[in-house]
Amino acid sequence: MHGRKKVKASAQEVESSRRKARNYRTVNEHVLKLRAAGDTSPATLEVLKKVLLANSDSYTLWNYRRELEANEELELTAACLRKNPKSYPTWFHREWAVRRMGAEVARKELSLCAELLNVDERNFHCWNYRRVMSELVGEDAADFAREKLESNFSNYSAFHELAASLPQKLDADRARQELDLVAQAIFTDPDDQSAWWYAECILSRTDDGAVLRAQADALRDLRELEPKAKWPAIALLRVLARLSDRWTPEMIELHALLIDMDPAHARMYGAVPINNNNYN
Amino acid sequence: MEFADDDSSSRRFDAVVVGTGLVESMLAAALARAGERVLHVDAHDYYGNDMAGFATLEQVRRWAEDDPPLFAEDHRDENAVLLRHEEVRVVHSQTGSLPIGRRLNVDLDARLVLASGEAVDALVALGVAHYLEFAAVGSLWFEDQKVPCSKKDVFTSADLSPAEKRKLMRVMRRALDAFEDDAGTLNERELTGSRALRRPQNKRLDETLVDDARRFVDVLRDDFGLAVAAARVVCAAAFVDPASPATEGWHGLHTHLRALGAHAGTQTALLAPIYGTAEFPQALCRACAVRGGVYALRRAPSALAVEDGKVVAAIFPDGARIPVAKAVVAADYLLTASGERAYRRVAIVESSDVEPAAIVYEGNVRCVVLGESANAVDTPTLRLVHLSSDSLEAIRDVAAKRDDATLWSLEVSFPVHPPPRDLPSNLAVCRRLPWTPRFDLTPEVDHAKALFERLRPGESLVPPPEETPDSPRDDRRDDDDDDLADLATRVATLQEAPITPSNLRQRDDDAAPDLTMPTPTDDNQQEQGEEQRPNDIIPPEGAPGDIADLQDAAAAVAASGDRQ
Repeated sequence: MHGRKKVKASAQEVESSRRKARNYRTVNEHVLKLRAAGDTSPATLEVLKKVLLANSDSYTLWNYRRELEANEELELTAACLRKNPKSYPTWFHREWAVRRMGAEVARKELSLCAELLNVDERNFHCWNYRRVMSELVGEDAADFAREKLESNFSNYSAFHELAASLPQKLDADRARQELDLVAQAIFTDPDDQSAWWYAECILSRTDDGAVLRAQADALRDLRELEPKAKWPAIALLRVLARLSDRWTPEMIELHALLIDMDPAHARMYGAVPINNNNYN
Repeated sequence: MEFADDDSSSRRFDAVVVGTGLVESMLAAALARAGERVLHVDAHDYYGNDMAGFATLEQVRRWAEDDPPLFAEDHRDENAVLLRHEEVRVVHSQTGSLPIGRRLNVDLDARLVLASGEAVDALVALGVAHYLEFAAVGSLWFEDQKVPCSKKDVFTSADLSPAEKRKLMRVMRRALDAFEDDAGTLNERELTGSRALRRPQNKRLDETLVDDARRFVDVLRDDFGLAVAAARVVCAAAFVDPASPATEGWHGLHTHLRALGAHAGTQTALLAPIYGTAEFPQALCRACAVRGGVYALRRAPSALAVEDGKVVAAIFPDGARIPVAKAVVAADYLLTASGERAYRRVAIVESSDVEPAAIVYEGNVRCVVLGESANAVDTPTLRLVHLSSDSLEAIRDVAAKRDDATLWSLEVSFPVHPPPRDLPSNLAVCRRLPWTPRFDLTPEVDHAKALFERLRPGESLVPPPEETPDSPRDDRRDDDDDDLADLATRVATLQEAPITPSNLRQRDDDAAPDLTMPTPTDDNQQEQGEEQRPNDIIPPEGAPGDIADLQDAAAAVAASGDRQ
């Protein structure tokens, strides 16, 4: 508004401007009170729109609007997830909203996830969402995964979380530590596939011969207790294959046993790769 | 007697129940449920007999010091069963520094229930489930070792080696499958079982586990390779004596494991009544009274008149004669004492141990630790420690071993009753059962069931649940169905013209149907004022940012301000 001549306002205009200011103050004060009281109703959003059109120079009001809009997204997605907890787009939308709101909100989301995972500990949507939230917060997701595994280790998502938090190459100590967790699980319930999957993952990240041999011994112990269980036999065969460059009698025996127990997968058992490097 | 009828030929009561202990009260509630008119009396001035509870130590002291009343035996005649009151001995009491007016729930007995099973079924069938509230028992121990009850416990146990875990899990699986007849219940299998558990071959009744010749510990050791210590823990989980026959052990373990997971988030299958064990008999008496039972404390007949091998009347000390068709009597009132006794010790101790907790001690001692969460004490640092056993020495050994900081304690000895003989056929005698390792009420429930069938042949204390045909599933109807229908109608009015950018702009100018949701109005909210305000001040549509807009908004704010 440059280059315009300043005109003195008429008395009427001054009066009108004062009235507008009075009204603005009344409404502004009211809106601030609503904000202080934590009001998040959509109607307030409408009011804010009017006030901002009257005076757009208030950071406070714009901030309040941001809060309200973000809150609206959170409320809507929460309501949707309550009805349909496995909706991909809803989880993604909520993630988008939280990303715009920052770590403060993400921290709250972590406790919400904990609640949801109490209800359904295997909702992988929630696990995926939680991983993003813990990244935003800067928290180690592995601790939570271990906690959930303690209450029920039949949980691929939690094992995945754990695996994702580990480096691609594990030193012998770390591998032993994780294989100890595996041992607790596979001895408790050798029919539960989730721990076997995690065992595979850990073994694939170590080349330590001593670790592999110790695992083979543990599996032999388990096979002694559960000679008819399928997973210990498969796992032992795979570990032995990595330790040997040829089919040993023990492996051949396991192979025959597996084909006998599970003929549908005969070819898969025949395809166990034999290792070419010898671990000593 | 005020409840004596003037005309004794017209019977006012079908049954007299003497004593308000657990079994008597179950029978009173069941008889009243069957439509009988019940007169329920107790010589004491409190309910529950040996399952009574007291709110202050002063009340406990009065209970311990005042001799229970004995009855004048002036009705000696051949055709009567004489009643008196058996002595309950206070063996030892220690009063310490505890203020006597503390708000407490000191029970003479501390019992728990399994979250599902016989006892719960009986409480539900007798209509007392809604009188009772429970706290989940946080842990079950054998001595100082936590008893692993679930797959989770086994997995996380630091006391067990992997091989032991496998062996223990095999025992638990076997017990779960052993008597499996109903795979549809929400139990441990449903919660943590893997698919392997649902294999058809695991469904059949396992005859190989029925073994009365061998002890449970031996079977666990020989057939399942458990070390003696681990086998002993399994016995604690089965609530059986290690020396009991294998069948009994499997059955105990099975009922325990079946009850696990009945309530989400519980660590054990045991529940503690949160207002004390005395709530059980009291709730049952209430259920009986609701169905017309008449109650009198400090009253008990001194004899039951018998004709032709049947009880025909209750004779009270003042001579009143109340005709009845059947009688239930607590064995405490009968002259049939045996040498055997049951012992209990209750102590108030300073401790912050986990509570409620159940502990099994070597040498046949049951221990229940209660605290604030079961309303036993009013301070977080106090615990009520209940010990019970068939041996006073064993109790004292455990008390010495626990070495609690004891503020107050009481040791009591109760008579145990052998099965009575040569009784009138319409008389049920409720015995105090010998001590068992069971924390829950199953032995008493079984006893009450047998007595009820004696009094009402062909009927059951816990009738099988009525077959209800599967109700068709409710129409899945969401709250927002109406909103969606409303929107659809509005959209339908828009369908005349195709939606293109140009006519969208046009539509803005026209008075197009409003697709926004109407703001829900809730009459209740109107009264809350503060929360309601934003709705009130939505300005009418118009040129936004206009002074008129603000004016309206300001007026609305002012108006809502006036209203407060």
